[in-house]
Amino acid sequence: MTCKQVEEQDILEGYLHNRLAREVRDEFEEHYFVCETCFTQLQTMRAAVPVLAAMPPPPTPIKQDRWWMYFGAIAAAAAILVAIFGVRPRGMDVKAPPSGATVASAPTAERKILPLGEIEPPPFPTAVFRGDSTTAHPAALLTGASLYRARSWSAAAAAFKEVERRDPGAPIAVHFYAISLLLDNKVTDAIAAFDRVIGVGEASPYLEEARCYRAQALVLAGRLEDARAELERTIALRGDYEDKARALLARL
Amino acid sequence: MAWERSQVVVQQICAGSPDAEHELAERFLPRVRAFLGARTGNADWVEELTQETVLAAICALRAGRLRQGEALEAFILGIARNRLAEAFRQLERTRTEPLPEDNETGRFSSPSVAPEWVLAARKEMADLGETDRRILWLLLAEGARPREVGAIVGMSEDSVRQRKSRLLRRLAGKLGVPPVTTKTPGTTLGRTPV
Repeated sequence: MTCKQVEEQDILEGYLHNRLAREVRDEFEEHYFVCETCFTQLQTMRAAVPVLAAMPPPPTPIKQDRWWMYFGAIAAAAAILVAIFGVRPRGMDVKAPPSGATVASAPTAERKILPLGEIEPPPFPTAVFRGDSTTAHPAALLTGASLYRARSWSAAAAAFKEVERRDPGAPIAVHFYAISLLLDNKVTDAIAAFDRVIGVGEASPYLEEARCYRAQALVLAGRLEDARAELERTIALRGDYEDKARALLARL
Repeated sequence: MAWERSQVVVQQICAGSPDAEHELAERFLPRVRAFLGARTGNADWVEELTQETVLAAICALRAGRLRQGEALEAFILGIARNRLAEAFRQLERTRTEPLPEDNETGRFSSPSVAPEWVLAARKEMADLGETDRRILWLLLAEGARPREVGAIVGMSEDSVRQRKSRLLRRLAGKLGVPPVTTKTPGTTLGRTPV
């Protein structure tokens, strides 16, 4: 192995994140026992990793070459114009949402029980970045995750949907698609997406989380009886969301 | 390039020089520690096996067991691998619960890094520009690949690599060569009576 190979094949990062093939790993170890330059780089990385890991995720710049970013920004600007001034760009008619409407129209009373702003997004699992992802499209998933962490819900939902399109049924993509829709106030679509996560059953690592967030979506949709039932199912799982589900159930 | 002084040091160890043993330990302790840290991530194991490896290497060199033409680096790495394999075998013999499938991974907590290096690295990270910090964070903390990082920060894969190399060189220059430590800094086996 040479220093050039180490650099070109991202061997150092692969070694730190334990994703090298056994033979490559062994070769690299033999190399850095001899090579001062590569060993220095390895040690530098090992010193930097705990510092970086303790830092909050840096904000994502809004300069990615992704159509949905521009589309989302334009749509948001248009919505603000309409909301504030009642002005619409020419040709932009206000139409009733199509069947299977995406925008929630929950009664005000239910919105008071659970304001949208109170819904805390679950953290995106960092294991995905370390190669534990079940999807065959980690780059697209990473983009979605980055947008999700930046709380760009609409763009994140579009990115996760794209992952799902390429890799149908990828559980993480469907689940975080549903969460992003919910936080983007597209409650009906979010409920439908959560149904797909829950439909996988016990095999899904997101079952409990999906149930808890589906219950919150049901509250926003004004379906309080369904929400109660969903919270009871969440509690029955006796997992991390039990307390949260109990607290919400008490409010209903 | 191999360590230029290896032959001299080996000869001096054979002749019973404590200074040569000290020099050998200073050079190889960090390497052995890095190797074991990557393989187990278990801080207790790392420290114990590091000490055992270097001690065993010194004993073997004193006894003249390094064959003619055999590289010192490969010799010591071989000892470290054998010690690690033996430790896993021993763990398996004494275990009461099943081992994880791949027990040669860093699934335990990372071995500690010397606090002064963490402080220095934290200061350097704070001084980095936002994009540079984001690149390093994605690559090192999140384990993303340059292609994936490029997609996020809007750069080509090669640009991400170049930027990473430049940042690491700069960081290495500021930190010196950071030793990943040692619970008892300064301990070397070269001076340990055997």
